[in-house]
Amino acid sequence: MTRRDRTPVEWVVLVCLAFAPAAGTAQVTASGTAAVTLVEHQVDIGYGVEESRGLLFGAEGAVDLGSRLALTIRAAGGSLSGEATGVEDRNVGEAGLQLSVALAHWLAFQGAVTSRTYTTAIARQRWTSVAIGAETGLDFATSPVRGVLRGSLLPVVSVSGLPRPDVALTTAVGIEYRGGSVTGALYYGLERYDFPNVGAGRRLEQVSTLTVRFTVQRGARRPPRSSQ
Amino acid sequence: MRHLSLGLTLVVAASQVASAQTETGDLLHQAEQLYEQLAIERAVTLLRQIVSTSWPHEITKEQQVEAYTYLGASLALIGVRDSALLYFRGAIERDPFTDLDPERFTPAQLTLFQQARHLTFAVAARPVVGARVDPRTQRATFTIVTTHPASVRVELRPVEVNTAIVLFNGVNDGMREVPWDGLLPDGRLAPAGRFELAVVGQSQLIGRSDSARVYFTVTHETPPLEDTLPELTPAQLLPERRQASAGRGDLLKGLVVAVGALVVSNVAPNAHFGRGTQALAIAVGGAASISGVTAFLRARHLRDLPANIAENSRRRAARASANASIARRNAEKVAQTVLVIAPAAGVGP
Repeated sequence: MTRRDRTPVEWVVLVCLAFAPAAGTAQVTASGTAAVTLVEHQVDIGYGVEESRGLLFGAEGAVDLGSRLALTIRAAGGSLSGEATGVEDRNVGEAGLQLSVALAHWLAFQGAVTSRTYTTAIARQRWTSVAIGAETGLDFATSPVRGVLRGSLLPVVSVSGLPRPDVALTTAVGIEYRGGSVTGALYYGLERYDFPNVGAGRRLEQVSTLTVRFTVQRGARRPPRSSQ
Repeated sequence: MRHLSLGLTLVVAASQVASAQTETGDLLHQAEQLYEQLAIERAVTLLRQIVSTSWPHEITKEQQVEAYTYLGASLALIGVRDSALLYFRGAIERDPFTDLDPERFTPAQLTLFQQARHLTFAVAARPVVGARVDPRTQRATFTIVTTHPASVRVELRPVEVNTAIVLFNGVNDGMREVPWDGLLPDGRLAPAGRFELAVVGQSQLIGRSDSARVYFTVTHETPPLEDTLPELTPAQLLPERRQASAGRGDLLKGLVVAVGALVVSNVAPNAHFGRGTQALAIAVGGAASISGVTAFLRARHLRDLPANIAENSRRRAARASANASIARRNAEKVAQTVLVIAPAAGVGP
């Protein structure tokens, strides 16, 4: 990641970290999250599957707006590298904003806007997407554990130099463990993008993730909603 | 039509009674004017007509007492002492509160009237006058009378409670005002209901006794009281013991998450990429399965839910505290209760 790319991500991280305590002191339910994500990125542009892996480090800040609305802002950054010959190392920077509406304690609708940038030594590709989906939570009755299932469609995906994908979706499954005001979580996530064939072969992309998250919550007790 | 005729009958009857009382009143007024003009014999003639048993018109007790009094006074003026004494006693017997105005009657009449009082023994209590009494600062007052010195006991009795409140017990001569603070002997506020004021007297001059009763009602005027909070229902309390089914439910939830992770890793990816990332889903699925199994096993052994027990205790304590506050506020309101006293039907001898 170049110096010029890192700056906005750092700004978002700083805003996230500053946001949670400020809200907490105002007696608003707020949370701050640190996350480490193992990323497997797979791309096939017609010449075979190109895989790269790496770790992304992220931060989130979330605040409840009333009893049903929650706003989450997040950022992550890291690098991906491939083992195969010819696979270029890439830096990844990502920032996003998510609005969640709780319909019941076990169901919420979510809308998110995400901007992601892949940067190599010679090029930079920007992804911008809008996701609409739902999340269901399964609270354990006997222990402070919660299972989470989430799915979203991405009706808007804009990728520099590429057409709009035919199929764009994200999904995630995870389990959260709460202890006091700290919540630990493990999530499996998957993003799938199938681009249309424009003559030079069909481009397929897929991002699989395993994320470990730690969330600190202040204010009234409410299960934290991740944007992972 | 029947209603109309009944109404007319009542109106006619009422007008006849009023007319009869007016006849008596007119004659009484005429007799008093003759008395003032010192036409005593003519006045006596009219007054005797009024008190005669053959007097055909309606006569009230007050008119009767007035006639007897003026008869006594008239006869006293013309020196017929025994008859005067007799009529004065007649007036006193009918209304022990009867008295002569020293500015309107002569000393001889007053002396004779006093003799009549000594020869006649009666006690009476004035009908209770409606009043609002704040027991903290005010007193209700009852007026009693004895015609001459007597041992008197004045008691107040709630009709529905077997308690007597002694307001006065001693020697009395003439009229007396007896105060009441609105409390029972044990200091509690008098209950709402019907009360009897009983006056019992024993003459100290002629060895006779007499009694009188009047009735009144007491109602409480209290600011509206707050209701206390009801008992917490089961729906308002958390389960304090874990049910065996909860463990099974958690096991199921853990397995749902585990299966969900595997399904997502199999269904959502593009088949072109194969199942290379399934290991990540297995990691999450394994964690969820372990969580579900652990919850299931724990639920089999740990039955009590300390957090819920503590929360329920907190809710019960909050309710008790709220009720204590309500009870305190209600007690303050009860302390502000005002007694509303109103005359009631029924009089005693």
